[in-house]
Parts: sequence; structure tokens; C-alpha cells
Amino acid sequence: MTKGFQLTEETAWCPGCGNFAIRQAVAQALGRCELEPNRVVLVSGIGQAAKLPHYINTNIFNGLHGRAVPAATAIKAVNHDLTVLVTTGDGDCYGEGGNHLLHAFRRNPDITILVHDNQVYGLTKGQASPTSEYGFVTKLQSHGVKNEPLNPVALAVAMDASLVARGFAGDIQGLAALIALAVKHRGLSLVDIRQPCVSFNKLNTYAWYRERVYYPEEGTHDPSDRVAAFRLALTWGDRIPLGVIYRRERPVFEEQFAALTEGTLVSRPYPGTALLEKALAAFY
Amino acid sequence: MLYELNLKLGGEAGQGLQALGLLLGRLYARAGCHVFANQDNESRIRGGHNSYQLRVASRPVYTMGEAIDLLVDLDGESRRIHAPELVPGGLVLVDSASGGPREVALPLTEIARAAGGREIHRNSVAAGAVAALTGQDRDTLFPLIDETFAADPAARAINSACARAGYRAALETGKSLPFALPSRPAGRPYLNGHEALSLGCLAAGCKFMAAYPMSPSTLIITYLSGQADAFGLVVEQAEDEVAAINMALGASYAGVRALTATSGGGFALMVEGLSLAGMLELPVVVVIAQRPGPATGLPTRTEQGDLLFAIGAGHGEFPRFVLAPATAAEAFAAAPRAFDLAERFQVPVIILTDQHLAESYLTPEPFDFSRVNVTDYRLKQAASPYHRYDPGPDGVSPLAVPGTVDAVVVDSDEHDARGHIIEDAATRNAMVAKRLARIPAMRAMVSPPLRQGPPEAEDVLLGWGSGWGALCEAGEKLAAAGRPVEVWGLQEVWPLNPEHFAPLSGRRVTVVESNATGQMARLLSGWAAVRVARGINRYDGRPLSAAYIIRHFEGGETA
Ligand SMILES: Cc1ncc(C[n+]2csc(CCOP(=O)(O)OP(=O)(O)O)c2C)c(N)n1
Ligand code: SF4
Ligand SMILES: [Mg+2]
Repeated sequence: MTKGFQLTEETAWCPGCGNFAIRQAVAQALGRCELEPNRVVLVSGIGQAAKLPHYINTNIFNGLHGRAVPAATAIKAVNHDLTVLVTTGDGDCYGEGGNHLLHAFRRNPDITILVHDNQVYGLTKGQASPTSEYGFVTKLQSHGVKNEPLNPVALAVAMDASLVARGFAGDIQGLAALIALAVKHRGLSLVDIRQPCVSFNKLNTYAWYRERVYYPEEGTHDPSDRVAAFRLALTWGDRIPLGVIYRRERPVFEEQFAALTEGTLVSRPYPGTALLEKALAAFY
Repeated sequence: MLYELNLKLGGEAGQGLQALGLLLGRLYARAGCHVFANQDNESRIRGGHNSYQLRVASRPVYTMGEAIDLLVDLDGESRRIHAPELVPGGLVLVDSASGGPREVALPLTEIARAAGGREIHRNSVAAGAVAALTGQDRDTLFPLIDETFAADPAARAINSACARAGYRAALETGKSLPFALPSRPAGRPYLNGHEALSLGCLAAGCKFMAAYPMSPSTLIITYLSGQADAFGLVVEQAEDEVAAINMALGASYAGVRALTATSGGGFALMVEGLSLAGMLELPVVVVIAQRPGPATGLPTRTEQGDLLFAIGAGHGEFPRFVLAPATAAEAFAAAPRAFDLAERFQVPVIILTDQHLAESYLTPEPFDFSRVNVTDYRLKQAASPYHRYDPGPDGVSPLAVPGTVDAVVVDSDEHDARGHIIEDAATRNAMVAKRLARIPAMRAMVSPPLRQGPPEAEDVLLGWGSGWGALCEAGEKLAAAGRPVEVWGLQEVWPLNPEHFAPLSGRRVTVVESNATGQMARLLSGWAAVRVARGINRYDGRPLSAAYIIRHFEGGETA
């Protein structure tokens, strides 16, 4: 099912980590979208999640902690024939890179952002993340987290993001379908993927999630209804909804540049001297 | 015959000084004169006192004049503020029906109203009056007014009527300045350093720019955004400078020439991104338009305080170039040069400008676009499998465009030749050596400093970047006064090639720069074994001038 998308044997992840399932779902989804590995760019920051690109045979831009989204936005603008995904962590995307995410919602580039949301900083060994629950105890937050968790799905709906979804690493098939849908969607897709971290998050485990997650029944939720989407986005606790929460077609960032109407930016020839002479003439 | 005219326009922010200055600058440029113009603005949008100064001459001039021949007072305050700067016999144009002996009293606002305009149109009345007082031809002025307002026929009609009325009224006063016109036809553009630099970016084939507004860099993104549709660029105002440089790096990775621009404070936010460019070996051009710091400093004024910051910025060790163009013509050339060096060596290139260079207007010889070198260093065809960091000559690896090969893998972690994350010591050592291996070749590429004046003179006045114009004029004046000096101006300030500085040995070197701590002096002593006798430093936010340099040079003051 992976259609040319090959996964490495070696990874730096702990056995049992939710990242394995996410990687498998990504490969399945990309194969299902009939993409060739060299037409896909995986962009990431720093963290355990952000290592995913190294374990699959696509183009990779593994940049700085928190800064994957602006790089991905530009890559897509320069070559909109490529499929661009961001694989990022909750710290990477909602913490260090929070401002970029806000503005990416506004820009709406045609990219897919997969947040491996383990509600903890995995790579730096277990500090709280923006999505850690109130009271979550870590070595650093030894008296428990004193901040309320960020609700990324509600934030995305509030920001009118083009596609907002929640996935669960404990359901590879469902996740692969969700990622494929997000990749095919024209516009920015945010998929907040709940990912158990077996080493540092003993609270939000596979079992914890399995007791709570559900896909709303066919026909019971209309993702184009923003108010309904917001209500669903606020549903958290005993019941945690998965799947597409919100969806709206909006003008895509890249299609608003005159330079990109005839083809990709990377394929445009250099300007001729006549055009330059004309620009200079304006200064006389 | 040599001639020179110094003109100052004084007024509040919001009174249209810039538009009037631009119009007059173009007028003299069209008349065949050489012009240098700069502005003194407070950091505010309305009120305060601002000025726009034009120096019009029969030979190229690169720095402001010392005294004013004609002052245009638009706020009623300028005559008092700038009176000490007037030459004997100089005139002040005032918006008033009557005035003193040194004043040309013209009721500009009334004339504008009578010609069908409103108060703002008095600037066109003033333009007409200044043209007449300085002996300019109406056949140069009136077509210029028409072209300036070509987009709006109603505005064109009013401004044209106002300019004609001002021209007539000024002639009727019978006053004028003795100022002979050149007979040469027009033929030079009137533009500022950042406009020239932006044209250079277009000529270099830059296709992507992201930036966050910050004075005095904002003109670059504003100009390029205006050209985006015609030239096929993607120009985006980023949410912050961190995004701006990471966007530029994403664009560079995807295969195009990419630019960002900011001032020192914004560059501080970009520093991690600069280091990323070093690690990924991605070409990128970063303009730092310096202004006085620390922190917010003096936002609308000038300084050369970020030299060592630009050279040292970024955690870890990686090579970069730092260029510091001297004039508008050099700023034009610096852009294609920067893009070429960046792509050839796969390193970040910083162009250090400053408010003085950015916003001073000049009339350079028209740019020759056919001579701009645009070499595409990216791979046309790559071997399979392609490895992004395979060793190449001087440590520079083949640079492929994603989509054209199996995979282009770049990683901010230490990586192997394929671009994948590693930790072993041997690969780490090899990669460090590879990244640094290009330094000798980079050093060999750096252009020697500009030089003017007698090479045998014992005294050398050495500056860098935008200091060049004032230095040259100081050198000429000192020579005329019987004190020969040679003037040096560095434009490619990093890396340094010590060989370039051998001719300084045994001479008395005075380093002149717009900062307090003598950053170039320290750089040259540390890296090029130059013995610096003393420094002349200016850090009040005002540009270096010939008079300032001479005063401190002769007085032995070290500021
Ligand atoms: C500028 C910067 N600050 C801090 C770090 C250290 N750091 C690396 S990853 C990380 C957090 C990772 O958490 P998350 O994004 O949730 O990824 P996870 O490891 O949990 O998948 C931090 C703080 C860094 N690499 N760069
Ligand atoms: S620390 Fe957590 S997130 Fe990181 S690999 Fe281990 S289980 Fe996965
Ligand atoms: Mg995490």
C-alpha cells in the first residue's frame, strides 16, 4: 500500500511510541494519493515528531525548532507542483512556532500540517507542552502544570482554517484516511494527531484515549457548519471526537500571486533587460 | 566651469517635503546635473521639523554640501532653524506676501488657490518658483510635472497650473541665484541607495522576498512588491523576522534566489535562521539596513554599528560574506554580486547598508543590465542517487532542485552526505571541515578596497560602506589645502584578505566610521594586521561629512 514510499529500519523512537503509527499512516496516505516520493516534501522543525521525515524516502527540509511552517509556505509558493507536508510536535508547532501557525491559518497555503500531539516535550525529556493538561506533573513542573492547555482544534476553527481534523495514533487506518483527505484538500489542513508518548506521558496513554475517542456518526456532523464545528471542537474530556471537524474552501495563498498563474516560480526564466530598462526608466 | 548649488527644503512631517524634493531632484537630473540629496527626518508621521537637502553640481557628488544657497521654508520655522547654514547672499523662499531682504516672499498657498488648487498644491508652486530662481528651463520642468501626475488628469492639470504660476511669480520678483546650467543633455536616473539595490535584486533574478517592516529597510520590500507582477516575484510580508528568514530559506531550498531585509533589531531575530543557512549550505541574501542602536535606538537615523554583529552573528561556525556598498551605483552592483556569491559558495551573504546609503539620492550613470552576471549554479542534471552533501570542489556540493532528483534532503541537525541526521564523531568532523573548506576560495573572491588619492601619501583615511563619499571629499579638500592623504573604502568587508592591506604598512592609518567603538579598526587590527593610528568616529545618528572628518583629522580629535 505504500507505493514507493519506503520506511527505514532504524529510528530514534522508543518502542511503542505513537510516532511509528503516524509514519505508517503518512506513507499509506501518500501512496493512496498516487504521489511519487520525489514530488513530496516533508518539512519539519525539531523534536521527536520532527524526525519523521528522516525515516521515509521523500524530499526533506528539516529546519529549526518551531520554524517549519514558514519554510513550508515558501517551498509551496516556489513550486506549487510539489506536495508539502509539515510533520511537527505540539511544542514545535503550538509553542515555539505558535505565531507562524496563527498567520498560516490566515495565509492558507496549500500544505498539510500534521501535529504529533503527545502533550509533552519528548526530545527534551518530558517537560510540559502547550497541550499538557492542567495539573500534569513533570520533573520540571513538579507541582503540576499551572496553565490551561491550548485547544488547537478550537483555535483552528476560530481562525477559520481551511481544514481542521483530529486523529489518533492508535487507529492507523482511520489516521491514514484522514491524512489522505487532508493532503488532497486544497488549502491549509491542520491535523492534530493524538500520539501517546510511552516514555514521558503516563497520563494520556493509548488506553486513556481508547476509552474516549470516537468518530461522530455518519450524518451527525456537518463540517461546513462553523458553529457546529466549534461546538465539536470544544468537546473534550470523557468523549473526544476524531475526524474532520471543520472544512471551508478558501482562496489559497499561492494562487493569489500573478507570478504563479502561468506555472511555478522555480520554472520562471530570468527577466530580460527590456523589463529592467523599463523599471529603471521610472527613476528619470 | 564648476558649479554647485545647495538647496534645503524645511517643513513638518506630512507637508510633502519628500514629494517636492523628489520632483526637484529629478528636475536637476534631467537638466544634466549631478545630484546628491538626503533627508533629516524625525521618527514621526505628522509635525516636528524635517528637511530635505539637495546638492546640485557639475561633477559627481556623494555627500551633502556644507552651506545652503536656497532655503525653502514650508513651516515658518525653517528660516530660524537653518539661518546659520545660509551662505552670504543666500536666499530663503517663504510662503508670505512680504519678507526681508534675504527672503523671496511668495504667497505660495494663495498662488495655489488662485491657480485652482488647495494648500497641498503649494508644493508645486514652490517647485516652479525654485526652478525659476535657479535658472531652470520651463521645458524641463513642465513635462516633468505632467509625467509625475500622468495617472490622474485632474491632479495633473492643477499641479501644472500651480507650477506655472510659481515659476512666473518667482521670475517677477527679479531675484535669482547665479547658477549656470550645464549644456549636456539629461541621461541619469535619480534614485536612492535602496532603490538601486532593489533594481540590482531584480537584475540578479531574485524571485522571492519575505520581510517584516523595519526602518530603514522597508523600501526594499515595498519596491519589489510593486514590481512583483511585472517581474514574476513572490513577495510576502512575514509575521516576524524569524518567519521572514525561514521563508527565504524555504524558497532557496525549493530552487529560487531569495532575499530578506531588515535592520539590526530584526536581524537579531533572524540570527538562528542565518545559522540554519550555514548548516543547510543554502544560498540566501540578507540586507541589514543599519540604524543607531542598541535596541530601538534612533529609528530614522544612521549608524555603522552592526559590522561585528553581522560578521559574528549565528551560533556555531560557518562561513558567510558581508558586503557594504559605498554608493547607489555600488548598491546596485552589490545585489547581483551577493546572489552570485551566495549561490556559488552556498552560503548566506549579508549586505550591510545604512539609513544614509538607503535614503540618500544620487544620479549614478545608467545601470548596464547587459553586464550583470547571472550564473545559475544549480544542477541541470543530477546523478542518481543524488546526495545533497557529497563532497565537491572547495567543499561546495552539487545543489539540486527538489523534484528533479530522487530526494533533496537537508537537515539542521548534523548530517551525513545524504543529509540525514547523524551523531558519530568522524562524520561530524568531516562535515565541519567541508563547510569551512570553502573559506580560502571565498577569501580569494573578495574585491580589494576602493582607493583614491596619492598612494605614496603618508596619511591614509580608511572607511567602509557609505562613508566613502564623505571620505573622498575630505581627501580632496585636504589635498587642496596641501595635506595629501590617500582614501580607502572597503566594500567587501568579510572575509578579509590580508594581502589587500599590505600597502598600508608603515603608513599612518586613520579609520573613519559611524560608530563609537571603532569596529572596522578592531577588525583590521585583528584580522589583517593593520596598525591603526587612530579612529574618527561619529555616532550621533548623523551621516559622516567631509567637514566632520576634516575637523577631527586636523584637530586630532578622536570624537
Ligand atoms: C530554539 C530552540 N529552543 C529549544 C530547543 C530544544 N527543543 C528541541 S525539541 C523541543 C521540544 C519538543 O517538543 P515537541 O515539539 O512537542 O516534540 P516531541 O519531541 O514531543 O515530538 C525543545 C524544547 C531547540 N532545539 N531549539
Ligand atoms: S520520548 Fe515519547 S515521543 Fe519520543 S520517541 Fe519516546 S515515546 Fe515517542
Ligand atoms: Mg510533543
